[in-house]
Amino acid sequence: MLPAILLVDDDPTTNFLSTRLLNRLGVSEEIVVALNGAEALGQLQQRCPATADAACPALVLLDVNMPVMDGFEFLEAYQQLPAETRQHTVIVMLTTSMLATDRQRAEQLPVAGFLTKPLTREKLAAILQQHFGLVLPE
Amino acid sequence: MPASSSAAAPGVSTADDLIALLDVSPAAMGLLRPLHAPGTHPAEFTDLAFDYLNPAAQQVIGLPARPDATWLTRLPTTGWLLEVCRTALQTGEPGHYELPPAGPDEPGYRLTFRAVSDGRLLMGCGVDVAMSPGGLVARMRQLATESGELRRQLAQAETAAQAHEWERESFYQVFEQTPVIVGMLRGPRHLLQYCNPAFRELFPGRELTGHYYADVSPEIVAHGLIAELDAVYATGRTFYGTELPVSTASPTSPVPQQRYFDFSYQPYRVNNVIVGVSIFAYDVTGQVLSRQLREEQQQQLVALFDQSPVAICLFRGSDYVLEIVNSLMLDILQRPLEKLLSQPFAAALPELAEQGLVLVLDEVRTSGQAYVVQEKALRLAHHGPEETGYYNFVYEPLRDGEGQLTGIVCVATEVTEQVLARQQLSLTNERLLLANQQLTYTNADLDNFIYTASHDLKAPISNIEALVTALREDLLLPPPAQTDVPALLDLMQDAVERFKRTIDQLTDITKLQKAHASQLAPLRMAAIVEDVRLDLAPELVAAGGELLVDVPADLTVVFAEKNLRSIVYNLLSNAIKYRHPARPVQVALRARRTTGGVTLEVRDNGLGLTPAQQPRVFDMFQRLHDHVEGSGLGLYMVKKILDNAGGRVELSSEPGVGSVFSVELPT
Repeated sequence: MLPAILLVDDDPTTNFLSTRLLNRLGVSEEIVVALNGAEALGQLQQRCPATADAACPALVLLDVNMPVMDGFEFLEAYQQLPAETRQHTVIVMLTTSMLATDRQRAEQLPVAGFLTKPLTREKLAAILQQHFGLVLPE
Repeated sequence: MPASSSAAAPGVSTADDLIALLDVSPAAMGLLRPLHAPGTHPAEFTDLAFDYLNPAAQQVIGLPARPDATWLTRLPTTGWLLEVCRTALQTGEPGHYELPPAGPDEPGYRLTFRAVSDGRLLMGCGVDVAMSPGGLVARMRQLATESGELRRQLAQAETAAQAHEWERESFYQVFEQTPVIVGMLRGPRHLLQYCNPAFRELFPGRELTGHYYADVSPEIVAHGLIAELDAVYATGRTFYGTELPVSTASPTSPVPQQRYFDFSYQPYRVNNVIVGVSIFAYDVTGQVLSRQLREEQQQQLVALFDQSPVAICLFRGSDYVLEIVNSLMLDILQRPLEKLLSQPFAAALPELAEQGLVLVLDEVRTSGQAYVVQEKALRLAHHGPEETGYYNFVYEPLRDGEGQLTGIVCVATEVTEQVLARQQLSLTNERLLLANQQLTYTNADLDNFIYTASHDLKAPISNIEALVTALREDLLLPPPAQTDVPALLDLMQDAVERFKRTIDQLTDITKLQKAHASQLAPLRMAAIVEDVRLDLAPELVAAGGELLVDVPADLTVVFAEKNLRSIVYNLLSNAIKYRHPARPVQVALRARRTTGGVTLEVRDNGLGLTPAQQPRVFDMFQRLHDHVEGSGLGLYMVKKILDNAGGRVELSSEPGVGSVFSVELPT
């Protein structure tokens, strides 16, 4: 089980559904929600590296189109964080659709994978196995 | 002067005087010419001819002034005389001969012979005093006593005669040797009395002297020059002829050659009476031929100019007189040759002078540098009011062999058609480019539209899909565990609403794209702003803000009303929506007429935008602040409306301070 998962999306429905799925699967101690990139950055700076009070998210599910700071701006800012802030976190993009140019841009940034909305049990299982060696029970 | 002539040279007064003196002299005087048989030495002469005898000598000898008879035929018994003469010729000393009386009552004469320069003998006669005390000598003495002056005159006359003779000889030699053609005609029928070798060479093989000029020179007759000779003889006025063509054959060239002469016919007078005409002529064939060659080359050049595929003209002098104008140049200028040739530039082509071409020619003349111009726009007299011609031309300075500027040649081609065609092409290209840019923008818009539309349509769909899946899962659970169902249904409803809202907005955009010019109407800006202000009043009140409006009451703008309302509404509503949480909203709207149209400025003290956000502010479905409701279409629509109408919108913003949207509405 992961210590924490950070959901970054401005759409409440997406956040509700993702939270519900993660809770049902019981893959994380804690689920944190950020409504845009700036909030997400704040959370990571605050939580990583982990302290007694706050767990550092091992996985970030990141949307692209968001107000204030979008997914790309977040990734660019994230790269500037200290290495010890970033070393325990895997970022996976979770979007409705992506242009080829957007995908190329994301590949230059610290992104571990791409998922298309909606998030499902199967999509999540593949990510957990690939990056954390976790196998979801049937 | 011919040796045979006894006439004095025209204008030599000493000769006239001498003749006059001899005529009245009581002393016998004569000029004798030794005669020798053909093939013998001149010194071996056997007789003497009388070339001239004065009246006194005529009386002594009993012969006329120019007798045919010789000394021996007239006085056969005076053979000793020949020896006296021979001695006089050989020694140069005077020789004397006593001519015995012809009869008992006749006086005897003492004759003196003296050689003169041309091999002839001057004979003078003194009278033997003893033989004839009351004779001629006594009379001469008497006369001399009566007038010592006469004797002196006689001596002077003799000296003058000698000088004259010498002078004549000099003239003669000069005439004989000069290449100038010299001839002397005598009498009203122009008897050719003398002609020099140059004259004779002109008519080889012809007998000339002693013949009438008309008889020996049919060429002169053919040229009508006998009439001129008649006129000179009759009036005394000199006639000058130029470049008389004469066809002559020479020993070296049997084919007759055309030669040209400049000549004069001058009267010559004796005792102020015209007695003949002198001919002086010199050969100007070389000059004539070279001039003819030049003229021929000039004509060839003119012909070449005329056939040239470019327009050419030549200017001479400081007034740029047109010397050559070829056909193509006439085509360009469209005026007759006679109005151009020999005319100064400013007089022949005033409209071009006004357009500064004389200054250009001045520059070429002073600098010596060619002037080359491409596609010079010029208006010629034949052009219509809106018409302009375009020409490539060169003004090239012309120089002579010494590098001196002799004129300026203009070589021109008209390129009006090409220039107009290119201008047309360029215009078409510009339009194409514009259309292409428009299409590129439209394509980019379309791509953007499709992407954003698909994204914004997909998002609620994928939400619905996930919500349905979750709902299905929950519905399989026993009812007490179905805790999420109401929330799922609400979210599903939201997603459907969002979907519908997006569809409506897309419909609005489509309508916007179809906005027509026919909707344009003159609108009072103040009225539109007031309408919008009333619409937004509740929001403004709720936000506790104020709106300052500064719009001239009479400011009108021609625009589609719905679109202008949309612009004003979106800018004001954004200013209220994106207010700064720490201070009350202050919005200022200001409109002014400018030279290009009307500017509308909306200034707020709201959140402002970062430099990174600013470029995206007019994109579709961009919501850069998340705490307020917004479709992400308002500014996109403002920009789209202005793009379509030829206006524009610009943003200047500072995060935390506020934003200024400036709109330019076209007139």
